[in-house]
Amino acid sequence: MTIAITEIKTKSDKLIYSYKKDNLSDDERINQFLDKILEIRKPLQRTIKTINKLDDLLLLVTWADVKTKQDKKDLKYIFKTAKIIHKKFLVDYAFLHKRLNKKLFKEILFDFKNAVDDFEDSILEAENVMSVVRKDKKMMSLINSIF
Amino acid sequence: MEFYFTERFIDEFKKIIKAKEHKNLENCFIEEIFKKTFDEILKTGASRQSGDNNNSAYIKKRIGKLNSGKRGGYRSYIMILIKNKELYFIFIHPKAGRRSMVKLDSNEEQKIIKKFKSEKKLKNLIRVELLNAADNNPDKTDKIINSETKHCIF
Repeated sequence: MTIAITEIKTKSDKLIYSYKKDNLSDDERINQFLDKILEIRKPLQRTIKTINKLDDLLLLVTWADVKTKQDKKDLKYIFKTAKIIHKKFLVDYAFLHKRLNKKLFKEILFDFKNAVDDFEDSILEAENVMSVVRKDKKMMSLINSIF
Repeated sequence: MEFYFTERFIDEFKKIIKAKEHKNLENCFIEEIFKKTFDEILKTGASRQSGDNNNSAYIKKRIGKLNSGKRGGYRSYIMILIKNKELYFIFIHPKAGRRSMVKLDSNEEQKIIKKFKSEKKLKNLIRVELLNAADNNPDKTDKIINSETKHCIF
């Protein structure tokens, strides 16, 4: 399986853009949503899907090889934007947790938080692999000697 | 696709499922490994630690708890022979609850990989497969079994 950093960057940007379009912090929109439970759930589910897709994309970074200066630059950009959007997800979660009825939206809030937590975990994991694990020559040669 | 467990992996797995909070681990594992395609296993929740994409790789794979996120779930450490679609499970730990750890200590990780290397050389690995609930399974649930003896692993 091969994937280019630039491809991940483009996909990541598209997902972040689609998320921003569905900005859930809009007070007015949330107030309208409160009247219609089903209408609230739809964008939340969409956001959870976006976070999950971003999460998978981020771990895909570890399947790519950093070969050029541009790759390095793109990688830095991916981690930077991922951290920024993660903070935004957390703010959104806090906002929703405060505003939504806990009983009515218990399940979706739980899914939202899990998706955000998984995403944070992936950022840390991918960053650790690319900046620490890949530089461990002892480990690399051990792995290469197995098969 | 072929699946192999090391003795260490089975030992850890058995210790983990002793805890009430982890009793569903076998089901979670079946859902995320045995019921997925090779590509799905690699492309979702898996990070390549080292190795290469076309031959063999060492990966860390997240196993989510059923009806929950992957963060509070489990981390499995797998060696993969990509061209033969062979997956060798060498270690697993929960991220939360009993026997949890954030990640495997790097010295311990190297020890486990070296042990795997020698076990592989000696062909001491256990080939496993899925016994579906529908396939005359007396427990009426999906189970992981030893491919040779047909006995349940857990």
